[in-house]
Amino acid sequence: MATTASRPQDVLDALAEERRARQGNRVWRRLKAERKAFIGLFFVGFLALVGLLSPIVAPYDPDDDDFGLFQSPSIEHPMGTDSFGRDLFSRILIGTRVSLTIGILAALTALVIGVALGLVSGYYGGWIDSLIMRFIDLLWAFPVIILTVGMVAIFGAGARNVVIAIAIAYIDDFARVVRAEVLRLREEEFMVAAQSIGAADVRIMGRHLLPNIVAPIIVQATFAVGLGILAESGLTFLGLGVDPTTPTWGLALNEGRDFVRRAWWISVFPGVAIVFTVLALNLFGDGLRDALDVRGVGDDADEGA
Amino acid sequence: MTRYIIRRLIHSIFIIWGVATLVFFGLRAIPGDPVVQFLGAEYSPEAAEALNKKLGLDEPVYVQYFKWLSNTIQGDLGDSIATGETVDEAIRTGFPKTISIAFVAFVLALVIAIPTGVIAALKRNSWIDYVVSVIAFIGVSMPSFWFGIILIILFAVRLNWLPAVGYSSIEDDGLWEWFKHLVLPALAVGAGFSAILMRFVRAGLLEVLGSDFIRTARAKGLSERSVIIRHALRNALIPVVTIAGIQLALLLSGTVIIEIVFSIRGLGRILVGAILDKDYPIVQGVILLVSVIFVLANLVVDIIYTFLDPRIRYE
Amino acid sequence: MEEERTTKRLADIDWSVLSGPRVSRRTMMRLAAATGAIPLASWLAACGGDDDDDDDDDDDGGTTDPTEADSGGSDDATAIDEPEDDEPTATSGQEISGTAAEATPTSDTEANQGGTLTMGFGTVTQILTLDPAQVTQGIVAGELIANIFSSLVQFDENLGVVSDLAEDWTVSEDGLEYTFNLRDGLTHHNGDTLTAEDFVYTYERTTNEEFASPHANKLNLVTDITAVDDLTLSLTLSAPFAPFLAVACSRGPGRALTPISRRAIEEMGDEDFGLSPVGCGPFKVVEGSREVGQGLELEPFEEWYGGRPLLDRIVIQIIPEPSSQTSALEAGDVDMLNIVDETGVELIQSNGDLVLVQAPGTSWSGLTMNFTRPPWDDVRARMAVSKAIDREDYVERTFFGLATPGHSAIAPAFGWVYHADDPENPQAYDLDEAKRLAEEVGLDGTTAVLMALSDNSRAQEVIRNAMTEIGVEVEIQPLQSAALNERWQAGDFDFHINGSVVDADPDDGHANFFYSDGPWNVYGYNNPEADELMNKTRETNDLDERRQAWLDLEKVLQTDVAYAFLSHSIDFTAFHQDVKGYRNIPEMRYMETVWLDR
Repeated sequence: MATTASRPQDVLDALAEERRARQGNRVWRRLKAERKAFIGLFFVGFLALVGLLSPIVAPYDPDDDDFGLFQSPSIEHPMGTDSFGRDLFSRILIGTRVSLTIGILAALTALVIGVALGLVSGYYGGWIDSLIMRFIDLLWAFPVIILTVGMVAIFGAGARNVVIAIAIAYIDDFARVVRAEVLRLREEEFMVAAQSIGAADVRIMGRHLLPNIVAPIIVQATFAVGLGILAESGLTFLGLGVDPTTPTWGLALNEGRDFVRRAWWISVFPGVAIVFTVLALNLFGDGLRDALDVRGVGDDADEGA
Repeated sequence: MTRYIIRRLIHSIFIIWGVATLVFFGLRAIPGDPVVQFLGAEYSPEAAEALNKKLGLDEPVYVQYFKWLSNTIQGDLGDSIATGETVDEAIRTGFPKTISIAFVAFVLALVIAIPTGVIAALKRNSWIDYVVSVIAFIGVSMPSFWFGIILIILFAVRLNWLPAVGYSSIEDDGLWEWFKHLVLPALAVGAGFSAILMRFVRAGLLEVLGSDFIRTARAKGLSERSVIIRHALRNALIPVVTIAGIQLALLLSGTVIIEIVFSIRGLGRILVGAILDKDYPIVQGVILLVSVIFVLANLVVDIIYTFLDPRIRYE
Repeated sequence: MEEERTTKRLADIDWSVLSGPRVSRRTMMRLAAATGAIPLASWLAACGGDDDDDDDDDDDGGTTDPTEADSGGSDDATAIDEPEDDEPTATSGQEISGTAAEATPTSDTEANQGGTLTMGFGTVTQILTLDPAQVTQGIVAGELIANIFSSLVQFDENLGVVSDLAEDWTVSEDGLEYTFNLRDGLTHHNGDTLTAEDFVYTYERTTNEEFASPHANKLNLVTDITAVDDLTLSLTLSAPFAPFLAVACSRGPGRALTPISRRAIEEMGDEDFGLSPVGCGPFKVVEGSREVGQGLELEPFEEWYGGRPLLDRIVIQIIPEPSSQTSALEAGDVDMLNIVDETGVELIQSNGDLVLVQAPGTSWSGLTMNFTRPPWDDVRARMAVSKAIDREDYVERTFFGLATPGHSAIAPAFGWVYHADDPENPQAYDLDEAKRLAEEVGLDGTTAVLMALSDNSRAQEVIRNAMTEIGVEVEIQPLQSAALNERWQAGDFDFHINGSVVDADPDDGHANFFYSDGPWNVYGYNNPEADELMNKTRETNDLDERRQAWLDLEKVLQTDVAYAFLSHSIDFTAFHQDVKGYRNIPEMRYMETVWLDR
């Protein structure tokens, strides 16, 4: 493609492509060197696999409640049964899928909106920037948990609204990160070049800016997935989370919280699942941040619950 | 500098006003009539109407808004719909508790984070470093209500060292009782916070240890101990202070769930309860306070930062 | 319509038997049987002692009453270590303290005076108001306000009505004139003398429309209230109303006529009064101690007519989170829990330092299906749902067995008509029949929206699982209470789980829900036969006929599946071994006899 390039536009695109490839290689090399990220990636991959395969792997129907209440872990029920008499192991497996989906959907939603806002804000500057950033400031001035509680109160509880509420709460993080990056890049040569040949704004943002800020976005998103999972369990604690038919880890943990002493396994296993997952995501994000040399992202990782 | 502060202050006022306005109208988007909450399920429409009238909730929303705005500017935050207590009273009783939890959490976090961070940095990539890191990560990854419940069972029920629930004010029962009641909730809130601090201490120290002036200090023959404590740590703590400042505000929101677990009626619990009950005046008043604290804390942090690190200058 | 019903009934009962300083169990029993109204009466039957020759009450051939079976002696009628048929058996082996026999301070010379008792207060996240005329939180009324306010009458351990502020009273033969003789020298907590005039003022305050008291309707039948002199109060009703003493005049539930000090209201205003009221009961609110949502402190009222209560102080501490309630009790942060959550019962039972006390519940809970929405307008569809729910299993999973499986709206506390076994219950669990009906109506693949509060999510989940058996997919829609109440009133739901709360009267739990124009009948139940039978329970004077009317009504409601009846709660409380003198009155926590053995 680069060889046949004739128009300045194509040349620039080709250069962008090459820059990306170079960067990609470097990232991969550094990622391999960064043990934390590698371990994190391995675990995240493992969880994703579990999530995908859970309906096949799960030994029982997660809703089947005929196994007796409060059965301690055994060969038949490796994690025991819960307070309804369901196989906890099967519910944790299915929960992997549900909880990850909630975390990922929330993170993606926040990412899409936040990145769009950050890009536009940083690229155009001026009053558009002011307007968007004031809105972001507003979001930021609300403590996350209060914002999500308010959202759920307005829209009602349930999985979909929980995702939306968590997403809205984390938009500002993405927007800030992206805007800062755009401001940094705006003065770079290739940007100036692209603008000077009269490339369309959308094209510049999409083909030149975005690929260069992928790194911080990915890092931020990695943290956001973990925060989303934590936030869901916190909302469920407040009675504002998913309805009792959505088998998230947060729900399982909450259903077990009254039985910590009577039947430790009901809260310990979902708790461990959450900790393990958030841990893996944080490790991965942390390692990625080092590998990609991103700064100032994900510093308030405890905001979730 | 003065100009910068003034500009930031004006900016802050706008943010706070925006938050307040958003909350005002957002609250009214929550389904359900607030007086129904108070009257109970058997309410009669007439009683609801009478109460709405009494509370001025029958007026158009924009009229309510301007009334509230003007009252607020005059310092009158109104009364709770549900309980009749004044918003001032709710804040006056709730604020000290939340601040106490956040403060003790903050102190405990520093006490935990600085030594562990230093050790992790000095023994970089040793097993100690890894263990400390993993514990720190677990701290961040643990749902706080669960951690809180486990702390209660362990330290209050089993060991009987600390009280399980409640708050005890300094004026009533003295410093020690106050502290005893706060240890567990503060640990539960501060676990994640101390983990983050620890990482910053470690990273900051590593950076400083590799810098020129430390090499100079070492070359002068100072003991390793004094190098680390007198020179390296002091410089490493600069970014820690700023992070701490920002996080202190975040701690306030972390207390929401913990206040429920430990039966302490601080601002967080007041606020969440009021949102669910649609207790407009309480929500509006408390959010106003929280956003003021939030915005000001950040301003103060930015200003302190310029003093700590002369390289930073605001135009 | 309401008027008509009440005037029609009970025309030829001699109401003067309700007069008292004490309305005996037997009298209450007869009257309850005659009117179906007084909750206490049922209790009397339930707690049936051997000293009463209540032959006409107990020989209800064939039906057995678990409460009655094992609660022979009044001294430990409801102690947890009594074996019960269906209810979980406690194994703590604790001697129950605070039984009737040793409770009364006068009879117990060993009782210590002094000490501070801390009570963990659960099930509410904040106390909305302490104003009796405004309180809607039943628990707050019976377990907290009852300690701050005395009333004309109060309950004894057997839920008989006994004298409180009124030393004695007479009820005219036609049941319309009540005359109360107040004790001499009564005072409010602010030192003002309490006279008959205070009740007149209270009546005016409660019924003032602008004041919008939720309890004003309990005084609807009152046509006249007069202070004859300082110590004589006379009330006239437009129609006989059997539960009047319990519903409107009793300490705790009788919120409508709980006396309020006029001067206090004039000085404080309604709002401040609600925050920290001036009462007339054994305890007064410690000045400045009330913190909304955190609790308050009570101190003894030295001038209380019954003498100074034994405790020096009661600290009420609100603990919203159930697991923290139990932890706080075990750790010794609190001496007593007003209510024990089902999740904490086992832990408390297994702890030798703690005493668990239980009393049968006075309420019912069920699943309502909206009659106005197909396919739930078809009785076969509703019956399919009801027959698909195994009540034993429901209670086991939802409450860990710590509730009574239900088959009707008559709660176990109403022992004179309640029967635990119902071999002919048409709603009885029968999955095959449920499936057959479901197929007949074509329920397979139907979706039903279950409107729900997050705090009974266990019940929702169990119901949802049970429904999968007949192919009904239940979609749980969680709502906050304000929104839920509005949608309930608007009849905007398919399914909902609710029921009566702390019934002072079985009549309430039925009339509200099942009269075609009942205030809680928002789901479209309309059966003239049920209306007729409910009237009959209020009208008939013949005991057997009356009981039969209730049982007939029960059968009609079951057959119509007015509700799929699910369960009855059990009232649990717990305290440390050193808390003595507790009187086990269901849903009440009168604390003046309690003392600390330290």
